[in-house]
Amino acid sequence: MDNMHCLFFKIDTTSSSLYKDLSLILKELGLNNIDDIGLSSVKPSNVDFVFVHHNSIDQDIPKKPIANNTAILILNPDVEENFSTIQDLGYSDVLYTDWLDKRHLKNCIQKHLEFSNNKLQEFSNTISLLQYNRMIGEWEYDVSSKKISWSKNVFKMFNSPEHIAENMIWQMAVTANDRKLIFNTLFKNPYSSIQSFEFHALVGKGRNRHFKAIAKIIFKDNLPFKISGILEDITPERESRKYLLEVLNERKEILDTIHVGVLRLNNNEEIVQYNAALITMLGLNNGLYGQSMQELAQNGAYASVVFNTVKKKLAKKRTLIGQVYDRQKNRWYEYTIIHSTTNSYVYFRDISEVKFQEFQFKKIQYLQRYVIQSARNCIWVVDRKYNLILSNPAFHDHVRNFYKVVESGEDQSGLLSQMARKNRWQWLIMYRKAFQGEQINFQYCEMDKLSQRIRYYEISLNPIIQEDSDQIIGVSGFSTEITEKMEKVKALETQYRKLNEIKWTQAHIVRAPLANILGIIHILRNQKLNEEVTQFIHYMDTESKKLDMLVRKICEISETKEEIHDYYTLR
Amino acid sequence: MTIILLDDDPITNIINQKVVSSFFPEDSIDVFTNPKQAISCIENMVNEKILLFLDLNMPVLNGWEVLAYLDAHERFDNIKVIIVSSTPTEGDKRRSYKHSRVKSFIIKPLTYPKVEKLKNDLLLQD
Repeated sequence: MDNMHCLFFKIDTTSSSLYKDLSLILKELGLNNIDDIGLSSVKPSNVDFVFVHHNSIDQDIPKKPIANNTAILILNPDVEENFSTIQDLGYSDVLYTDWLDKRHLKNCIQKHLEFSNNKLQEFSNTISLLQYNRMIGEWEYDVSSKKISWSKNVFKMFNSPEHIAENMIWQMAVTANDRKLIFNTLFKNPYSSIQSFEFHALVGKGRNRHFKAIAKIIFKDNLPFKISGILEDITPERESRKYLLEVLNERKEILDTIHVGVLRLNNNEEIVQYNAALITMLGLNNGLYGQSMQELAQNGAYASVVFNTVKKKLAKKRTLIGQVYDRQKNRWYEYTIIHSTTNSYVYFRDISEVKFQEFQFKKIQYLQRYVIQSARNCIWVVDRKYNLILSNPAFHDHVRNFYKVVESGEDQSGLLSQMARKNRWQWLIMYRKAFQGEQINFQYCEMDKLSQRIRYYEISLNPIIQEDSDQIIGVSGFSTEITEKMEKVKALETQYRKLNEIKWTQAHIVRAPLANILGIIHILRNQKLNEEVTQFIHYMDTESKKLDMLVRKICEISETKEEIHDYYTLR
Repeated sequence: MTIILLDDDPITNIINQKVVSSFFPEDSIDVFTNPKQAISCIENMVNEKILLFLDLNMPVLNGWEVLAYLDAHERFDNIKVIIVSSTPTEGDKRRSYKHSRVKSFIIKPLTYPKVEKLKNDLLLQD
């Protein structure tokens, strides 16, 4: 740090003690030329470091006082100002008075010396490379003469012959407005070490090119003396940026047109990208960029349940699919989490309608199962291999009663194999007919081994046709026990037989002689007989007709019973 | 016209003959208690108009079987049948009228008014 020149600016009276401390520290650091006499007695070009002490809370921080050097602001810690504002004022760094000691100061000076050396090295390296790069050129502007001069490359970049004056080319290529804007930008912060700006220019035959300039204002006697810099044609970069922006916009448009909600998160689980569908689907407000999953999960309002669930799953760091229910909105979402090295993607799909249908279907299924389970009649379904695939408790009771083999939960395949051989063929024929598409109704009886009683059943076998393929995939069976009905019918048949016997007896055995008596009486009544006999024949006729009426009545009743029998006679 | 009375009960036949003869005095009346004898008689009376008073409930060959036999042969188209039954059932009546040759179904006993009405009906049909 030999031959380093430092300058200390006192802003107010409180600075004197600080100056002493600082002088001592700088001396210890070997900075041999400390000067506090003010700018007038020192050449600014000889000053390497400027220390500006600002202690007042009420006053604004002053701008960097001298150009072409590194300015360090020594600040009261109570002054609240952010670093970017301090940089805009031209300072390279800030030191707080409560931390001002030898070590901090030394580190600060060393850091900026290195930085400055590095920058200079970089700059000279860049300059030496310029002659090889057609897209970069050097330029210089003389403040007093307002003359612009530039290297051969800049002529080429402006597509102009070298004999035309640079100022003319500049005025022709760049609009007056842009030129004014560039100057304003440059002199807004004249003490900034290096500045950059961009502009576009018309270079021959209406070709519009984009340029980036890096400029450094060189001061002489604390006044801008010269501006020198480099110019770079960044048209390809701008075009590719434009193209990339278009691609990005297009991608955003595509994302916004799809119905799937998309969320891209960085490794800190902060939102980097999302689409319109996500906002609509989850009922969110725009402006999610930068928000973390933690914030969204804890805000207690919009879809926090959804974000909370997804956040937990994100921690597993693997691809997974899940479902989450937002009770507040009564909506169901399916989410898919996919991780890449730098991002996590979460895709949301509103599956509420599907879920509600599923619930409805399950409800119906439950009701159907309840109806089937509670039915007293047997209900069962077999597949094409005669495997039992559905049955109700009534069926199991029946099978247990008759076969004593199948138990609930056991392997029930091969229903037919459980049957007695003599019945098996009968059932097989019926099943085959059903599998050919026929609806089969038949009666079936079996001996109940427990009660030693014949039980009668009405069986219905119906083919189950798959709607989309029209194929018969199974047969459903329904059976109703009709034992009681059958026993009643048998009793009725016996009764009928007896009634028929009575009827026959009445009609033929009783009525035949009665008819003869009536016939004889009828003939006699048409004969000439004495009065007394005629009277008795009349009595006989009356009584016989009464008896005839009785017999006829019995015959009529018997005939009614015949109809009842017809009704109950089994098909 | 020949009138044939066929009933397995001889008393019935006597009553029927008495009543029928008074309305058909000019026609000959043959009386049978055995259906087979009656059929063999009929077999010999081809092309002759016959009015058969037929009982349904008879042993050996009942009235339905006699009717079926007659219906089975065209040569008996000349025979008209009057069913005379002691059984007052609608079923028998319906069944009888399924045979076109059956002109009337009369419940026993056969009386003068019934036969008179029958004669009038037959005359109207002719």
